[in-house]
Amino acid sequence: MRRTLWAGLVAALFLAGCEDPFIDPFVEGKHFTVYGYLNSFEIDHFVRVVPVRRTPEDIPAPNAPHADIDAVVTSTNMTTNVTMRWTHALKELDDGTYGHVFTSRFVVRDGHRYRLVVQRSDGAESVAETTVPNLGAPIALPAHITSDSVTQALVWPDAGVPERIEIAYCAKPVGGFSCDDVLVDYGRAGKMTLAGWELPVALSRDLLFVRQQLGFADEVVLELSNLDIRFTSLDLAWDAPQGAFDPEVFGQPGALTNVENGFGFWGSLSRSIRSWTPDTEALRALGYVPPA
Amino acid sequence: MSARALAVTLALLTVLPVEISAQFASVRGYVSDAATRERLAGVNVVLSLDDGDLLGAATDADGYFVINRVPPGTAQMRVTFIGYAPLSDTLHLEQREVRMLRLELSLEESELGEIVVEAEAAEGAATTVAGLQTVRPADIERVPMPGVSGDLVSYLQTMPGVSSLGDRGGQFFIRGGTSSQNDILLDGIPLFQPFHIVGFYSAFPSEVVNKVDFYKGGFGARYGGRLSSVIDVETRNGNKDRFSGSVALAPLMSGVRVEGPIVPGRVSAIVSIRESFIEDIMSGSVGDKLPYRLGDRFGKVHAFLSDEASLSITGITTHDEGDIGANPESFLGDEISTIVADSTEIRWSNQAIGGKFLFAPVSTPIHIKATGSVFRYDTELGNDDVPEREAEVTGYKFAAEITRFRGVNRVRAGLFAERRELSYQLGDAFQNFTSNVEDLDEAGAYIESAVAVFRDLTMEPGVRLHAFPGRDRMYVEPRLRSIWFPEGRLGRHKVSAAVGIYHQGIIGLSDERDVGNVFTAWVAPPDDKSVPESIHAIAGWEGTLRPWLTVAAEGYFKSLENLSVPIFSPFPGFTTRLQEATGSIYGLDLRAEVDAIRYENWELYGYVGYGYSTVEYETDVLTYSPPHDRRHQINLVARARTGELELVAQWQFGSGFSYTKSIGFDVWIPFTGPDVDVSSQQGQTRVLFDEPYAGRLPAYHRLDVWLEKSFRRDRVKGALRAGVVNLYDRDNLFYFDLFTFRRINQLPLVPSVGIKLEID
Repeated sequence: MRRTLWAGLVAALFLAGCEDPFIDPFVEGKHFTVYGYLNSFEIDHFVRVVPVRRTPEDIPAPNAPHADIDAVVTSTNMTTNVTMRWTHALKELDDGTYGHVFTSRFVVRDGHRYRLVVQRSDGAESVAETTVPNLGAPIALPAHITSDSVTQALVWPDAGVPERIEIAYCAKPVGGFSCDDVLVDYGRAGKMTLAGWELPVALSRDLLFVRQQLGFADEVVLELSNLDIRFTSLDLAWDAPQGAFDPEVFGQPGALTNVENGFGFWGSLSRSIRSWTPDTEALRALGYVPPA
Repeated sequence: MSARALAVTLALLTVLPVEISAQFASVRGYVSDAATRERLAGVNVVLSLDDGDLLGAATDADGYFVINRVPPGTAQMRVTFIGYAPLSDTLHLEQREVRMLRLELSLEESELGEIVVEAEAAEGAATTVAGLQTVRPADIERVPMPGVSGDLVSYLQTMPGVSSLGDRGGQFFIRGGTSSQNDILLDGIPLFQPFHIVGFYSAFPSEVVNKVDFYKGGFGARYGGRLSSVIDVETRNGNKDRFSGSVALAPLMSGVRVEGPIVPGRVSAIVSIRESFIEDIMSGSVGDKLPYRLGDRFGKVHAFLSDEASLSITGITTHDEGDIGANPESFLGDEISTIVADSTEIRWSNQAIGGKFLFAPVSTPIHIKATGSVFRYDTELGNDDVPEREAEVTGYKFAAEITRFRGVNRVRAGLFAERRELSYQLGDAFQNFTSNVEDLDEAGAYIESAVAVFRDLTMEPGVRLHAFPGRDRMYVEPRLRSIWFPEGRLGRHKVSAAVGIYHQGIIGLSDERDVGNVFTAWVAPPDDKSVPESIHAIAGWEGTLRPWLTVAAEGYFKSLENLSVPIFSPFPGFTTRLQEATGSIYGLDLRAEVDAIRYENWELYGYVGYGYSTVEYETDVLTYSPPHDRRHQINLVARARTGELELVAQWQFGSGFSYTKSIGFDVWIPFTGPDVDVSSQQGQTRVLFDEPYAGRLPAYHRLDVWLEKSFRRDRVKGALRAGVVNLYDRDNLFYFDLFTFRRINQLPLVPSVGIKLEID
């Protein structure tokens, strides 16, 4: 009995000693990192593709080992079911190394959904989809007039995240022949509401700025002859994680990505320029004459 | 009940034992080693009264004891301590007499079956009282290690609930806490990293240790400022009668100890110097490079100022240097050179000096202790000339404590104040340079008592007020420890429990992405955040099932609040950006110790310990097991001795630490909008993490075997030890670099011989 116990102990230690301490730290299932977007104002499109590798990609020259990529890139307009195959190119980057860039040429339709597939020869693929923002005319909410400010909010029901909003005011003295544009940059102002993207337009502040820019004294009565709103909108998913583009946050794998079985982001962009006239009552409160 | 209300209740309880009694006598005094005059802690002093009752006390860390409420008349006194011949005497005591005794014990073979009178004493590998284990040099010597002298750190590694990185790095994780949550004291001096870079050694060789109170949690009100554990080391005093010393020669650690009287009988000194020659002697012999340089210097002067007072001055320096990432093996072959890794060259050192004054007046049953210390700790990572990262802590600490004895009860109250200057400079190839210097002050007071509520139940309520004046915060920390002897104090069973609230004002910031990143920068909590807090709950049982068999089980739970942990960054480089986290830890320690069994001509000793632990942190976005989470741990120690020959074997097993698996590398481009030209920006190489800490590293296990031959010629005692670390040459993983995919292994099979000569 005692000998059996000892033999068992020695055998257990021997087996423990032979146990393989090998470690494979990798998990599979993610294939490509993709960066790019569709622009409905352009017909040439490109996407950067980085294969997920067990060693960092390093392409110091076009004939370097990593210069080849086992990938086919296609995009499909899911509304029309038209598929395009993209063309590979090895592009020199800012630091003199090279990266894999795929290009294609087609017209991007607002409101259409597109699907990008990056496929390896073994069938493994990374997929991303984007819906191009469809920017219709904004809906004006009632003006908010107080003794010291006049604002009126606009709502874009189908807008994505604004990349930039600009308002061009064209004002002239009453009876004047021509007006000059004054551009007010709203950046990414506003907020997403249930009704859509809501932008409060600070009319009193803007029109004071316009008067100053055009050099008219306070007693000159101005007529607002035209007002254009230029809205550049991004795919709704193209937004800062946790409210800010903090590299240590959105650099996290999995943060700001819409790529299935991969990383990176493939989005879309649309732009609209719409004329709009603020409420007559609001303009009169500001001392402006509404456009005829 | 709120913490404040609970604290008030406990404060009231602490004063209960103070009562007036006039007709009783009191016996008090010191117990010392007859040969060295070293004061002995934990000695049992028992009085057998005429009516058959027993009264008793155990000496404290300074060898002092008090037995109050002794009925006048005759009492038989018996003084016992493991390893010493018992001392017996008959005392005739008058009413109100205060008898002051100076007792000396002589060395002898250990005696079994002594009467334990002190609830808090918890000695032996299987003996624990609500998280407390008292460790003595003899316990340390039982654990095999390369080299000839024992070291506290090797002993601690055999304890369930104590995880280490392995044989290098100097980091300890006690019951799920991080290494920066351990309070390490040497004669009251706080030390920040006293564990050496080669994991067999610390600044606490058994030769200078007198006693260690090791709290794995649930510590009483006299301790604070840390969330996890306390390692309170009391060092020996030098021999006051004659000179003695030792010389130990071994490649991993060699040392010299000299001690002796300065003023015979009153003032003594002890000096210990140790240095490792592992790099010079062993690097070639085991195949791998072993680029480690380490050592320590310890000195202490102790003086009896009078029969009632003593003063000691303790000084220590430690130094460690080496490349913990030496001999890397790449998972990916040569391609790995394409990414720059963090440096693995690290250095740290401690310098500290402190004094302790003790006063125990004959006329009053009180004991007063005052300590003061200054300390400095610095660490660097990277090249010696231009380190990538540096951190330093300097400071001083003062504390005073008064203990009043009343019968078997005791009340202790104390004050403390500590000031630290924390500085760090961090910078490397992947991040902006960051530096900071800040002060952190802590001050407060505590009161605690040991109250024999019933004959077989002792409660130790306490409360600590811990303030952080610079941050305008103060915390009330109620504590309660208890021990119950179901079969009486002489019975076989002991049940103990402890609860308490703890705060830690200093944060040890390390790169939590990898447990192998041992660089720690010490910082104060952010001004806008609360101080990290923990609640401990411990319950345990211990049974002496046979005279030679002790078995113990202890469960514990710790909650953690307001932790500041670094954010999980996907880029190589240390970050000081913190996120708030909460945590929970629970686990179970089981141990069994078999001692003094004889088999033919062999005297056998065996110890087995098993520890289970689960650690979970939760941030706003993630719930994870941090990289020091080790679930299972087994330690086996077997020793057989016949005559002058001793064979010792130790097997350690630890399940793998958690780590983050990788998906691979890609390129990250900060794609914030269409103005970013992704077709020309090169981007930044990024390691793609899988779910953080979801993977488990391979298990760690190792068998060490040692053979020792001892001899004695008059005053010269010698030992020759030969053995092997990692007998079956397992490729134990030390750590795995998330960015370069290099694995760093622990020590391979390392043979070692050593000799020690001692003059006593």
